[in-house]
Amino acid sequence: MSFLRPEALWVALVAVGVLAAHLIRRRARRMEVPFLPLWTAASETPRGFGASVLRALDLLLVLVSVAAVSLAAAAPYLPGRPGTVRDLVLVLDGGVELRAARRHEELLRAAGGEMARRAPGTRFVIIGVQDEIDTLVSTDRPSVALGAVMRHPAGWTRRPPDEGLALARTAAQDLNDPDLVFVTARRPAAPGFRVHSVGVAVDNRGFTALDVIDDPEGSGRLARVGLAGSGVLEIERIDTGEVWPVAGDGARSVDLPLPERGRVVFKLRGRDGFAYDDAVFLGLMEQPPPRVLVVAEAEPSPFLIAAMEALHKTGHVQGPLQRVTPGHAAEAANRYDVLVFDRCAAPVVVRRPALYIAPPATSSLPFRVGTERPAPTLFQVRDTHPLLAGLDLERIPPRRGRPVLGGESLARGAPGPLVAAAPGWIALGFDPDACVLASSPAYPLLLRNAIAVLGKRKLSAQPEFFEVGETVRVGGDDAPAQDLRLLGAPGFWDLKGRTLPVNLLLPGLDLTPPDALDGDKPDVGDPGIPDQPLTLPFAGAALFLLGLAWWIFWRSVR
Amino acid sequence: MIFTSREIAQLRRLEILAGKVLKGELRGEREFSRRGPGSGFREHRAYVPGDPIRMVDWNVFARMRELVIKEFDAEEALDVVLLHDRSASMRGAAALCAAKVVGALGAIALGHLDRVLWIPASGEHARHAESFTGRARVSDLLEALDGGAGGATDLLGAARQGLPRAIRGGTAFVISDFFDPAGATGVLSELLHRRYQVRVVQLEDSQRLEAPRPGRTRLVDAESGETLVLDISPATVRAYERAREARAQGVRAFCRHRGIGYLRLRADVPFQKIVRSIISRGWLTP
Repeated sequence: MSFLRPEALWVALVAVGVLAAHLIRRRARRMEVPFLPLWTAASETPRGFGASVLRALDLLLVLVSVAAVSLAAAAPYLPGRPGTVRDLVLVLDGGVELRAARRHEELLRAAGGEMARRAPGTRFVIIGVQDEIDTLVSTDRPSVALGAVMRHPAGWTRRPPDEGLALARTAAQDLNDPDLVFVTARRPAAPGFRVHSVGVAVDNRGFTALDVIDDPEGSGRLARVGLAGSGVLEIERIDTGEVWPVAGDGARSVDLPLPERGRVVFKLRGRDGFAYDDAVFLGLMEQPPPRVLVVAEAEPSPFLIAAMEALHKTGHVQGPLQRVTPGHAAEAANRYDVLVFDRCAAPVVVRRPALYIAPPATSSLPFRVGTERPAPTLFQVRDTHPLLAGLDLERIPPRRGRPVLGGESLARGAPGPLVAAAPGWIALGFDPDACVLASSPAYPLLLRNAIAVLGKRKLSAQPEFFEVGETVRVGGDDAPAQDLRLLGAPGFWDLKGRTLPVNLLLPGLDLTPPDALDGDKPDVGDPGIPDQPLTLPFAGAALFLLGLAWWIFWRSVR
Repeated sequence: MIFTSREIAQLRRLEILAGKVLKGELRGEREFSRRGPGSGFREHRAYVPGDPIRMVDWNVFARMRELVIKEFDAEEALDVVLLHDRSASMRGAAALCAAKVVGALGAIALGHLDRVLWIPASGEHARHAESFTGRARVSDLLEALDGGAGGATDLLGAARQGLPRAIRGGTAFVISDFFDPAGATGVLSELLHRRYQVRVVQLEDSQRLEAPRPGRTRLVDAESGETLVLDISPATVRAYERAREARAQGVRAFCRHRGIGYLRLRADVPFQKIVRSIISRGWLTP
């Protein structure tokens, strides 16, 4: 048995005082009485052997209880067996921005459960950060003193308060150089950007934050790495080997390009060649390719069928070609991300992203179609639009064309706009089969671009976090939407085929330990045996023994 | 001297008060119903042979030619017995109070020309029993009371040795705490048997009788020196109080049953109040 506060064992010296008081009390004081027989008749208290045993038992109980109190004050614990695994530290931001301020402890409990599930055998410590004063809530080892990180409203990852940084360093040091410290947070982003997720690595040498921000203007994703503390660091992207130097003391940041999808891992490396073990790694949500439904009156164009098969093989389209007649388009539309109307239109308006190829003049279209003209001269208006990226339509003059009235004109001919786009639809006012486009390599590219533009899902249509008790709408694609109220403990909830992070972590953040990054089975090693705190049992025993001693004493004097 | 000068003055007033209560001016102050030598004429009776010739009323013979004997009421002093407990249990306030009460009663009795028999009940009682007569002996009585005390309580032994062998009657005061191993009934019965009007004054020194604080205590008997080691607890104290009260109630019940005057007083009560109480109860009257 070991003690966290061995100096508290000096409390046991109280036992000497108790013993001395007992001995002094046992010394009978002398008193002269006028008439002793009165006392002889009055001596009703138990005397002799029984009384002596009771007194001795009472003294023994008091001494043992004093010993138990001193032991409890010394915070005893049974030392566990040290494992070979490294400690993993999870720092959770429980602040208001995570909408978890009122359920901080629930958040920590759920995070603990989630960590145990995702990284079994790994010893981990959870540091909860709430408001501006940090709260340390959970640890699996009583002997570990925890530090904390203070959150700053203006973006503490890039400019952490000195005290927060100091606490974080303290935490890292006391945790015996932990493998990783994660902080999840959602902070106000720069104007025009929206933060998707944040990963923060804290070690005893520095303080690194990684923000992934999304640019709605379409400039792509950026990883903003904020560093604090002293030293010169380099950030290495492991998968590509790219290195970004981040020099200077104090707080600074650097923006790193990120891929559209996949997982990227950054590692901190000192310029002196010392590679830190700590890594910031981030899992980005895989966006599946869109599901496409071809709508045609009869057999679709063979060029269209061939292009769709090619897109399926290259992974731009999900599943093989599916087709349906216009009469059933509205019924089947909900199961697909993009509809391709091949020279036809649905009898009713279908509110799904759709590519219209040579649409007929009908009222069920989201645009109007003009009178057909022969041999319209085609020239591009917007070369930078994603639909026309890498294409030159001016070299494929159509034989006939109908102007598309509505939306944004991307290519024009003599009668008017022949290619137009708007949110939710793209229309080609000419028939590719009636020109060289159908047989040229530009046709699959045009289809790929159109499907990619139309099939691009809105990012984070729902908030990254849900509160317990919050109502969330699920379903809507294959099943009617339902409003469900989230009741129960925080965690990852599987609802209607979707995983919802409830009051917990960001969906894209991968918490797999670093050893598992290469795809191997996590080397969790021997988890060892955690320390067993004994303070409460000793305190309880002391309380019980003191109560028993008092009861015996009370019975003897009453 | 057990009395201060102020207390002596108060003692004088008590004597006057007692005199008023008795309503008598002559010596003896109490008329006995038996005939005997005295100054008060009682009656004439016919002469019978054997009567002393000097008792014949010759004036009546001169007028009536009959021999009659002139009889007078016997006038004699009252025996006031003061059985004074001077044992070791009466140390302190009880001893002083008892001495003052005895002194006051003795002084009043001597002031009324009664004969006072002072019997100290202590280890040396046989040597100290003493009789006092006349006002001049008041100072002797008070001086005798000033002596030390001690020893075991033996009221019966002291009474048997101190009282005269002849049964003469009178008033007997027993001033004691009655912490007598032999009990109180023996001495009181003996006094009654000798035709005394028995008056009991039980004194209790509350300070000495107070129970010690809880804890282990070696109790030593003040008279016998016996010891008892006891763990004093609130329960023990309560039992002790009950035993003490029961003993006092036993004495009181016996006194009531035998027609004995009984007073139970705390030793810290001024002796004047005690004597006034005795006077007001008429205990000085036979």
